[in-house]
Amino acid sequence: MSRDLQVKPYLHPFTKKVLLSKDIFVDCFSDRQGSLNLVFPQVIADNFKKFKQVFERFGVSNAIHFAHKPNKSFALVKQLADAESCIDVASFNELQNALNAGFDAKKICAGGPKNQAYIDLCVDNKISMSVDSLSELLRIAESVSKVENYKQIVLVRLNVESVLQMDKESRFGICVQEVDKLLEILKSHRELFDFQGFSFHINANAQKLRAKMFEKVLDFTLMFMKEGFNPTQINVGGGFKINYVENSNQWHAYTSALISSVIDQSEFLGWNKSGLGYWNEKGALRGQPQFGDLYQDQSQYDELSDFLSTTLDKYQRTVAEILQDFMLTLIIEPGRAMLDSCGMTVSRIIDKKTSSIGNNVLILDMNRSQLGVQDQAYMIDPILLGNKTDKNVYETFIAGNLCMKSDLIYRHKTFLPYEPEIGEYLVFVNSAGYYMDFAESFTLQQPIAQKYAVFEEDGELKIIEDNKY
Amino acid sequence: MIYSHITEVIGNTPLLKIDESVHGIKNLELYAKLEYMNPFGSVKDRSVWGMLKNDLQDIKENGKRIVEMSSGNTAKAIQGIAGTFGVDFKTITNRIKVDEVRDILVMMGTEIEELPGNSDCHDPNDPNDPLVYIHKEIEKDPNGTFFTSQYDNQKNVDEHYNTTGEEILRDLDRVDYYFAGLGTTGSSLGPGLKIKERDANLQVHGIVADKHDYIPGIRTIDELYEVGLLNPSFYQDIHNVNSQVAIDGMLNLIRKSGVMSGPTGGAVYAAILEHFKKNPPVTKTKAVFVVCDRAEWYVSYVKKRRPDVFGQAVVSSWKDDLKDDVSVSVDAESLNKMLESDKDTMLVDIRNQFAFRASHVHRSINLPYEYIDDMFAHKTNPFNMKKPVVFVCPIGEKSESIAKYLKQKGVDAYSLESGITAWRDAGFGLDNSF
Repeated sequence: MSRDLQVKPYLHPFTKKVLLSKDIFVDCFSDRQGSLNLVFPQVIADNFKKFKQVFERFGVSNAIHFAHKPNKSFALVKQLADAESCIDVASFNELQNALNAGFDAKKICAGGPKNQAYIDLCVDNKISMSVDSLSELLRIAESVSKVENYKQIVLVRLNVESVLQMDKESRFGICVQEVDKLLEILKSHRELFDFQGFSFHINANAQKLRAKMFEKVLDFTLMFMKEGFNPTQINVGGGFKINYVENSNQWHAYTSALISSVIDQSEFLGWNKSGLGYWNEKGALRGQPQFGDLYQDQSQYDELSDFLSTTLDKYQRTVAEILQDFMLTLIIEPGRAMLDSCGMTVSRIIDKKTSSIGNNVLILDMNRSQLGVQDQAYMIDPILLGNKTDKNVYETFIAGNLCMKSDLIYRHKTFLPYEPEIGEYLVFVNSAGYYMDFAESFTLQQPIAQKYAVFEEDGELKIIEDNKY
Repeated sequence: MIYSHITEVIGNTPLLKIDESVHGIKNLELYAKLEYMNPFGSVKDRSVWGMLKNDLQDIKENGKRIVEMSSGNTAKAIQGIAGTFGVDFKTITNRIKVDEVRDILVMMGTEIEELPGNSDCHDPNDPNDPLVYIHKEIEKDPNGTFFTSQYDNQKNVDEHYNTTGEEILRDLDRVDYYFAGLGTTGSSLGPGLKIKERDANLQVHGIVADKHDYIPGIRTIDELYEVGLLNPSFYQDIHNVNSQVAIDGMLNLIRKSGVMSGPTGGAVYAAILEHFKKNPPVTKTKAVFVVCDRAEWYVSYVKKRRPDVFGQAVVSSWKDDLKDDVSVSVDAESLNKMLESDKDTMLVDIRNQFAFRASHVHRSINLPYEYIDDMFAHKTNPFNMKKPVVFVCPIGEKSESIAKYLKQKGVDAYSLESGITAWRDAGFGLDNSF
């Protein structure tokens, strides 16, 4: 094959360092444990600092809440607690993890759907809550009313699609037509709730909606000020994008080749001649890719900076100036963006095969659940840890250790710098956000990856089990 | 020359020869087809007239409304023409990226529906996709709507075949190259086909925007595939241009040839120079390119991407002469005392009016920063020289500059240290004026 469509990942300096000291993690493998996840707590502290610096540059009162959701690691959360970050949790166990890691109750916000146990844990620990529906608010009221002299801090999530009148179905947050009812509930429960403001969340591919939504949420915030409440915050959620690739040209060449393969119906890059979400309808390209855009020419920090400098039509002032004018604190909830370059997944090749139509397939001792979710395929190239000198590009798919036809770790062809051998290690870098453990499952009783924290101390890399960090 | 209707002014645009001493490529005879000379300022005037001329009578008689998916030149042309026939037009589009373009459409009377869609390219799975949305609009009132459908309307290509292509054939005895930006591909396909009938060796080159970049009016290669219009074999080559290069090309055309081109024309010009620098013509070669629209409505586009272009014209600011050693700060505690003891002290809050309405220090008046800035820029001092005045802003920065400036002018001016936030945090109350 003459094609070479490598998509080399961007390597953070710390990732490079870890890759150069592979002995420290290779030793953690055993015959029964075919994959492991490494997390890098010091990098997350650094990312936190970079977000903080943006806010400082603008002089905007802020709170950076790490969205726990995309990674289960204890070590990362612990490091952030020490760095005086805030955290956003979305389940009972995430809240427990944050408390165990030493987070001050004032620095935690609890979101997500809530059962009674979760509500009770919040109330017992005086954790502020992000409320997702009016009925949830009423259930919280019931729990809070049983505690004497306690006002529950609440933020209320607004439904973006409803506020912006988008013709799209979404179930998160309260809708515009429910706002009057919210006002009524908060008014009649003044002794129970300390209403701090509104929150919303936009998707990573809809950044331009952030400022638009912010302007609308500001209207609601003013409406509640007028009604005698004292909202002091606006939470704009996360959705900050990160860059995964070293070179934009490689990524563009890959996606263009994928699109051409769908148009020409030849040289397919998707498994079973698929277009990875694209299809051909009478010569025109249709569909949506099953992966995000891995190249970003703007960092997550610049994205925040851009948002803060956006001029709002109604006020003719920037978001930063508006926040200052209204004395509001801006909360952001970066998850993926905070986890940028904070970890990697390592596995071992256990077999090499050829498919029924002649494609190479590498089989790894891990499975698809350990590298992401369906609509967000991991598309950058793995790093090979062998040192073969004969360098001929090797085109292959990558499958997992489940006896299931769906267990393809790479549904797309990847172009490795050489043909690796059975037993060789493969590294998926930058997998901490949503990839490494978000969907991991114990299917077929195959072991899930063990997690270790790698950190630098006295100029030396050290490794420790994640929960002992 | 007398015309009786604006549509008569469409077409027959000049073909301007760009001198070799300007473009610098030996053996190249280069001609710019000045499509920006059309009445609504772009090559789209032709496409739109082509798509509408035979149907306007029917549209008008049956009270139909025209709809299209356009955030720029097509919308402008439709509105311009529809207006003269008393026909309504609505454009449905994702957020218009260039502010002036929106403003001009509004000024012309276009109804604009901006959808909060994620992407500017067609995505049939997204209910906020303009095309999906347009089809829903049409379903609501199939007999009252006329959809020009520029992306798959054959009349778009035909009009360019019959007019643009014909004019070029008439003006030149031979054409070797034809360069155009690729949007709907009508302006490359139509003339390309026409010229090829006479000059079979014609090379047609298309220009697209770099992925991840944005040049108004032309698309990226992926977007072209999505539209389903691109016939790659028709083009000798398709050139990628980024917005920086496009702006360079645009400035080059404007400054050296007096061609008031927008960024798309600039992109095409830049691609031509690049192409012929790499492949210098050995024999006399004649090339034509399309300058598809005007520079004026892209000022903010250029400003955003090339602030340096405007940076040369920095105006001096009243803030330039502020002295560091002038002390104007007053903390919340002292301000409170001042207000209690001295009824003459004037308190000026410079935050925006909505923030002022929601909360402010007792007795303060609101004079937003922008007004003061503007008055100072014109050397106007609106404050009383004999009474103390205290400025309040969110964090004490802007108020400090204002107070210092006035103090240097002899006004008894102060600034609330750390702003209204400090006042609030010190526990002094705030009023509102809802």
